[in-house]
Amino acid sequence: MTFVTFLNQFISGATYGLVLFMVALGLALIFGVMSIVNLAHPSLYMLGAFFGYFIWFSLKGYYLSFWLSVILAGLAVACAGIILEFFLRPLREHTEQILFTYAFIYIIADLVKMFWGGRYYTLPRPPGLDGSVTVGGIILPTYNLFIIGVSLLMGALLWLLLSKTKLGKIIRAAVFDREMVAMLGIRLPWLFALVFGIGAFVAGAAGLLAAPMGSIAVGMDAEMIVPVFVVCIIGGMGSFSGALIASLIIGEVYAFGILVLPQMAMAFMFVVVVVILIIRPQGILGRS
Amino acid sequence: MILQVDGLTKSFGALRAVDNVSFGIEQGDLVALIGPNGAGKTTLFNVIIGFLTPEAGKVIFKGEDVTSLPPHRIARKRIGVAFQITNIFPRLTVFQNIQAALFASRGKTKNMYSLAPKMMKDDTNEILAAVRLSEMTQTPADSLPQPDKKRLELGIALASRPELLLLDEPTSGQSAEETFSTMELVKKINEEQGLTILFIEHKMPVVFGIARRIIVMHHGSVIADAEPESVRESKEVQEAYLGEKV
Amino acid sequence: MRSWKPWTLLAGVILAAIMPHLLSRYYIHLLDLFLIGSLFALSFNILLGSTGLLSFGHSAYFGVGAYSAALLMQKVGLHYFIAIPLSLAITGVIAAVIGYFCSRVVAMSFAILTLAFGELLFVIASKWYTFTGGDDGIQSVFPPSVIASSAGFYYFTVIVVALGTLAIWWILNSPFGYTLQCIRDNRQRSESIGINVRRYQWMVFIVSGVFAGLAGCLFVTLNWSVAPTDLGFVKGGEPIVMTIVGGQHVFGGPIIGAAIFTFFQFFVGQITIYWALVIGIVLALVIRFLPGGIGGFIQQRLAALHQAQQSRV
Repeated sequence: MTFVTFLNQFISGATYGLVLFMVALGLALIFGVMSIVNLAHPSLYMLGAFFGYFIWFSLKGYYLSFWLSVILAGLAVACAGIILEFFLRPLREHTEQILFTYAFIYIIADLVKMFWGGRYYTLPRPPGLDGSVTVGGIILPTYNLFIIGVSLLMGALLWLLLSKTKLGKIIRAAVFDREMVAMLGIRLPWLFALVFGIGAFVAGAAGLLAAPMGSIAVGMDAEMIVPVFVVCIIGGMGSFSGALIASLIIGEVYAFGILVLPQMAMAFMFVVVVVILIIRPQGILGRS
Repeated sequence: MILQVDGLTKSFGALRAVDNVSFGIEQGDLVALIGPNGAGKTTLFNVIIGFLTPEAGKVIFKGEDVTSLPPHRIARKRIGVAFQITNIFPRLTVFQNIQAALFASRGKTKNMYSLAPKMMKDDTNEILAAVRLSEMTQTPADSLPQPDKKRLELGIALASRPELLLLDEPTSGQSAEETFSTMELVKKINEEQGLTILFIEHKMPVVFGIARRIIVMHHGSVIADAEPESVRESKEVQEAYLGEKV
Repeated sequence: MRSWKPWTLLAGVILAAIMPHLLSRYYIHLLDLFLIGSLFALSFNILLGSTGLLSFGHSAYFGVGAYSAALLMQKVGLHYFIAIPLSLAITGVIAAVIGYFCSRVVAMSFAILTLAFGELLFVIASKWYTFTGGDDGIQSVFPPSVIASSAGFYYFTVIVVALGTLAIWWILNSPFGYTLQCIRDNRQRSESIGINVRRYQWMVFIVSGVFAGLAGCLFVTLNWSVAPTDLGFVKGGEPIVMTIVGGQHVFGGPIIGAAIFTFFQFFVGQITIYWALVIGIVLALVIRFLPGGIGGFIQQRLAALHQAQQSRV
């Protein structure tokens, strides 16, 4: 394998991994604060891509239309997430909650099919990021590097939100003791809706951000489910840094696995999962 | 010496819940473990039965080091426990709760070919009679009132036929009358079956009424370990309880 | 009052026996699918209702049963009645391997890991063209002529599913079954009375996988073929929907759910293509408003009726 190939696969793997990371971020946040496993999170990612495409389409020609679409798509998906959270609220048991979100995978997938048909859509890269960058004689796609940057930025922003702001402190307190937080006068329902909304926003935005690298179609959700949740398990449910490490591992394993066994690169992912779970069943940075 | 605890230390972050605790218990003994709230008594129990791993020290049961064994292995060595917060099988009936514990203690849990409802009826009824739950055998354990759940908790512990029984506040929440009969039962199984019992209690009349030995813990350490009279006289114990009349 | 049970049983047996004379082939086919679905859902509920384990990849064992039966008959040339037990053994081994890893993790991760392994098998089935026929699957798998006819297969399925159901009922009411329920109700207490929770989770995974594999074998016998869509995420949703809608805490719940699912699917499928939407909404509504499923609801009503009768006396 030449260095060029290596670097290309490495960047490709990091890009894929960090897209997984963005989706996993929202999941980790929701799980960490509310102990809910939102199986429909990859569906929200897909919704973001679809909403985003049609927003962008109507805004075509306007300055910064792509970026505006990302924000608006994220907000739209945040609303969808808040609606989902509202329906989830009366359910107390974990099994019920996870099954309820599971039902929404089907509901969202079919609604997307109903409104936007079974065809696929392609979204061009935004102007300025559609070219390539030459690093030491090697040509790398600019957009991939952008995704790497923006996902790390999102992770950093979310981390800052949680550790430095007042809202973040309230959220972290709610993880440990929700009754206490409620007694301090914080309206828990609003807090939970907000957390879910943030998690959904990140997933939706990620959906549109990732769209130019592939195509937008029904089935985007299915492609995401296993890798994203595997990232969560390996990294430890609810851990941001665990998700980061895990998503990079998974991304790279997948990217280099394709070189060896193109059809079943997924199998390599499983070897990693199995090995990590034997050594540490709670995940790399999970609480035991 | 059926149970030997040697230099056990367990911390949670900066808090030393159990601090270099050592004591021994002879077979057939009836020992009370007392101390103010937060003294580390329940933590000590959890270390002995394997749910917590100590940073230092050993638990030796019948000459064998069981410190790092997982809870189910320790249970199989015949150490039984009744938890402070009732820990029963809610969806099973009272009868099934006891039966299941009996199956576990007799090694029948892998049996897929016998029909369980009729098995071990006599043994189950015997235990139910001992904890006075014979009237409500078909009730789902979840719908029992709290004091009955406590009795079922004890019943499950007895059904696992231990040689050493750890009871965490067996009379908490019980009326004076029930407290009396629970402690009569504890005394009876200790005297008739030779079952070694270590129990945590807060009700002093109960403790001084039946314990033949008392271990006192405070801030994670053992501050007294003697017969009831000596403990009663001990200055440190009195201080620990801050003037509480003993 | 007690004597109605043997009479209903007899009526049920007679009704089952004369079905091929009452219904057309089309409806017998549906009935076959219902029976296979019942067994599949019952096997799933060994994990969920009795042990408290939620598996999103249970279709993997259904599929392995079907595929291995098909492969043993076609590629190895084994006779049907030898291929079936062998395929159950293969399913058991696969369940043992996957179950080993799944039983090591915490509850929520278990659900996701079963999903992941299910998808892995789906990918293997779809991509390994030379072995599994890829997306086309394996076709032209012909059962012996005695069970190849509509009526023949129907009677065969009724007997196999009845025996399978009885076996599952027996296992769930054995000491092993009680142990599973202890694990479901209170893992900590189970450990403290000597139950090695991890090992029993592994064991039950294998048991339930083998019964799912049996359902898969029946399926490939009915269909004369098997494809990757008979494993995977969507197929894995079937026992979940059947069990939740029918009721996870009642033994007959999965059977009720299988009936509803099978017949609903065929009739709704004729009105709209948005079957997934319908099923998602039904599932969400049942979880929200009827947590015990229809079986649980019926049980509650019967208990209330019984109470009312008692108080009148």
